[in-house]
Amino acid sequence: METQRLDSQQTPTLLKENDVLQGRYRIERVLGTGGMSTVYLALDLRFSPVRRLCAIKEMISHIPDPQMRALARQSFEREAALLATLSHPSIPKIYDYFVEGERSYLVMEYIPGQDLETLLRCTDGMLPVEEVVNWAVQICDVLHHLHSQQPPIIFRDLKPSNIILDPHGRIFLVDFGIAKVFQAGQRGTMIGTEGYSPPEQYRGIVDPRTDLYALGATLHHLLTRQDPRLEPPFSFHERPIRRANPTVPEPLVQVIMRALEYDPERRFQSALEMKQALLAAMGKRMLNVSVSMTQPDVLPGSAPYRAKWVFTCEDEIRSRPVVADGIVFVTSYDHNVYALSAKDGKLLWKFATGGGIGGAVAVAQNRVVVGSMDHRVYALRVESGELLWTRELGGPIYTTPRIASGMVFLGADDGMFYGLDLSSGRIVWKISFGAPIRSSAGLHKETIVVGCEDGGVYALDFQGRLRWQFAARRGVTASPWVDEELAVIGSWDWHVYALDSRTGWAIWRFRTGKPVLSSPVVSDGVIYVGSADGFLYALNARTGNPIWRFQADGQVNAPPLVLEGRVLVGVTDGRLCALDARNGKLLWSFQTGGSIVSAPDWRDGVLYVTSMDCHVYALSME
Amino acid sequence: MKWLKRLFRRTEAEKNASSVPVVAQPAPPASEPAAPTSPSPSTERGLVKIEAGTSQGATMPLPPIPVQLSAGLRFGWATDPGLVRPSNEDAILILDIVYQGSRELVPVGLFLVADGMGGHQGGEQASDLAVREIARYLTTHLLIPHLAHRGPEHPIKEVLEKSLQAANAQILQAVPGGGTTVVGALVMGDSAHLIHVGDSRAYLVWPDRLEQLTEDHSLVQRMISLKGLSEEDAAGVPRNVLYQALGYPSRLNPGYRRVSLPRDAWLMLCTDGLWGELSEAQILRIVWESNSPQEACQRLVQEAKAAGGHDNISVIMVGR
Repeated sequence: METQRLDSQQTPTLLKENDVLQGRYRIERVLGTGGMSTVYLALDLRFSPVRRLCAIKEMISHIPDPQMRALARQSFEREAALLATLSHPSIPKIYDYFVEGERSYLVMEYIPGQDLETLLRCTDGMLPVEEVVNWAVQICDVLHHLHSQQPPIIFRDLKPSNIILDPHGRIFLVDFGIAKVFQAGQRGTMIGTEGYSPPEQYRGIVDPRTDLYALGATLHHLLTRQDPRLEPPFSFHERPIRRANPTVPEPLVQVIMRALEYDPERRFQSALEMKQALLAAMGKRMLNVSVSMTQPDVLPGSAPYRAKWVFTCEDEIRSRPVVADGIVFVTSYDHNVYALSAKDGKLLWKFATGGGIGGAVAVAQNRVVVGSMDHRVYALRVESGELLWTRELGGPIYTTPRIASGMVFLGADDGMFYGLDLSSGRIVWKISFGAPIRSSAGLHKETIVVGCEDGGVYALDFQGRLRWQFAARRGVTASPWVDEELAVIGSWDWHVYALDSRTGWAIWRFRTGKPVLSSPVVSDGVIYVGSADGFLYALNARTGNPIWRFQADGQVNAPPLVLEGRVLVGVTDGRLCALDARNGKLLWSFQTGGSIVSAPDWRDGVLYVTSMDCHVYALSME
Repeated sequence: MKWLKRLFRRTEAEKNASSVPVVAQPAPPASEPAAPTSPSPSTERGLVKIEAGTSQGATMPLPPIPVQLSAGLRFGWATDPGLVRPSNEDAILILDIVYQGSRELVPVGLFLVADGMGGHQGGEQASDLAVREIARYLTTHLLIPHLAHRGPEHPIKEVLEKSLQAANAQILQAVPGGGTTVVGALVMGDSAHLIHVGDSRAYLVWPDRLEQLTEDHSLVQRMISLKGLSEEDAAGVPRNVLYQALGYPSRLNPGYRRVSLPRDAWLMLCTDGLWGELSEAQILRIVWESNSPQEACQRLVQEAKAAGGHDNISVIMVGR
């Protein structure tokens, strides 16, 4: 396979020190080598009393194909002619043009100083923002000059290495080479992209907005120190400037990101417009006016729900409401299990246990099963709340029981996981995991997966036999999600783990910024999970890569509910947020008076939400 | 463990001596009559068969796939310089564990295809180093623990990524100026974990369609995924520009995904010398007309050459 790289090092024979061209220019050293040319520093001997230096650009003439060589020569002459017609303080002056043997030469003003790529390479730490903006404004000026020519001149190749900063802080554009023409002729696979060029330029389309994109890319590089040639093309929006460099003010970020819009119509339309935006962005900063970037709050009137009823418990509610048979079951730290009429929120019955209740109820076969901090599991009759049986376990219970195959499965703070007979409450089996269990079990077919406070994750079958185990670095309080292929775990170690549900082997993990207490939910190959870092994440279940994330105004410790293309999730700031499942955009939110740490439930067009403000809300959706 | 030792001895011995891929030697020229029904492996195909420890891998008939109780994967492979390039800069490596014993051992196979680039033999050295280094890393961190009935110490995705990083570091150091794509499948039980950089691809070959599982790290693919570049617009965009490959100093961010390996489809790994030369319909026809994955691979290479053979051609087919 014949291949080339964009950065291939073709080394033609260079002129040596003290070589003299035209009997006038004595070569001092090489200043730089580009794809098609070499630039030398030379002394102009005609001004012998003073040391007058100039830059001499030599067109590399070893191109074997005569047609290509002619084209290259033409382009070089065009650059010479172009520069000769331009007069701007940021464009080097041209002094001479000549041909010697096989080589063409352009003699230009020598700009002392260094190009910005070298500057980046030779310095550590972030460049001062004001200085970078000062350069950008100067570049806008010279671009405006170029774009105002008839016909407009498009620079096409703006990048740090073509921008020279002189010792007085002045900016010069160098290398008006239009050598890009030739790269299209290369054969074989090439690795690496231009990095600074906008998408349309790869299709041969250029206009003034092409240069503005390249200026945006250059500013992004200068402010973040992330070389775009080493990143996926057009990935600036995926690499936020402020994440790399928090000193960049947000208004400036917005100017740069607008210049970097994929679609030219959405960029600045002229260099002048961009210059004004740059100045305005910095002016605001100097006046210390903060621009409010917060999303407008959804007006209650525009929200697609109305509160149908509200019920108040005597203490906070940390568990989710469970709706079954027209009854909403709610458990509270006030020791009670409440059965409310789904229709109007009227209390049907309540049952007092001997301790606070942190988990939700499980309902099956006309029984409501619940665990309490008084160490006991209770089974109550659905319609009356009559006690059918109770069983004392070895420690307080914070988890929600799971019911399958006539068994009740749950873990307790004594580090034991229990299998009870649903009809009698008899302990059929128990298994010790040695650390408190605060995680409600995940269930799929014949597999139970449960996490422990020491980070252990265990898969059991219904007979209590261990199928596999996995160790997270810290505790697992969130309830595991289990399906045919994956067990998805959230841990106090800040990670979301995807395990092979058949073997328990970790397939991938995703790191959030804080502990993950929110129980993951998988829907259509997407994992939705919150973190105490304040984000709700949508992760691709196959790759572990994030699809989007939503920033809430508090910790997201509640499990989400995925419902008809929306993701509903509670936040510790008391809001229930409804997001578009495709992109994470906030659709509406509902404010409660306390943190929401559990998932809502949904039945027959009504959403049930519990909050630590002691209330149960029934929201009827319109 | 004997075969592992054998592999390592060879690997070490040949490390600097040869640029030929250690495990998979170039396939017999596709112009030679293929012998799809040959029941026993021919030794000139290198270590593949020795490791596989079975002759069934390459010669079981294609679907309707018979219920096969014994654990193991069925696969075939072929690689060819094509008609235009002077040498073959592709490399292939296959490791397959077949186990029949008193305990349970999830069947595991590793399949790698790399497409080298860069002059002065940089391309063939880079692809060769890539497949060997990746296999070496995964042998240490996945296969050996697996043989001891231990799960991987880190998430599989991370182990795969690290294997590519290890290969990348080796290439940067040992083959300046050389680069390579790579696409790999680690098959564990009924899961296939895919990893890739560059434009070598993985597909599922279903009876009626090709499902592309990898997204090329190419300029044109990036434009298509960002803005749904139309065919018309894409026409002007250079198709041969990659933004990521092993041996290039860009930030390495390999593509990873897990798929369930279905019983009624083949997993196909290939270089652009195959997918760039043959249409989807051609590939489907060739695969489903073949009697074995080995025959399919050889015929795919043959037809890619018939279509021009402008580039090196490599392909691996794997099924359960």
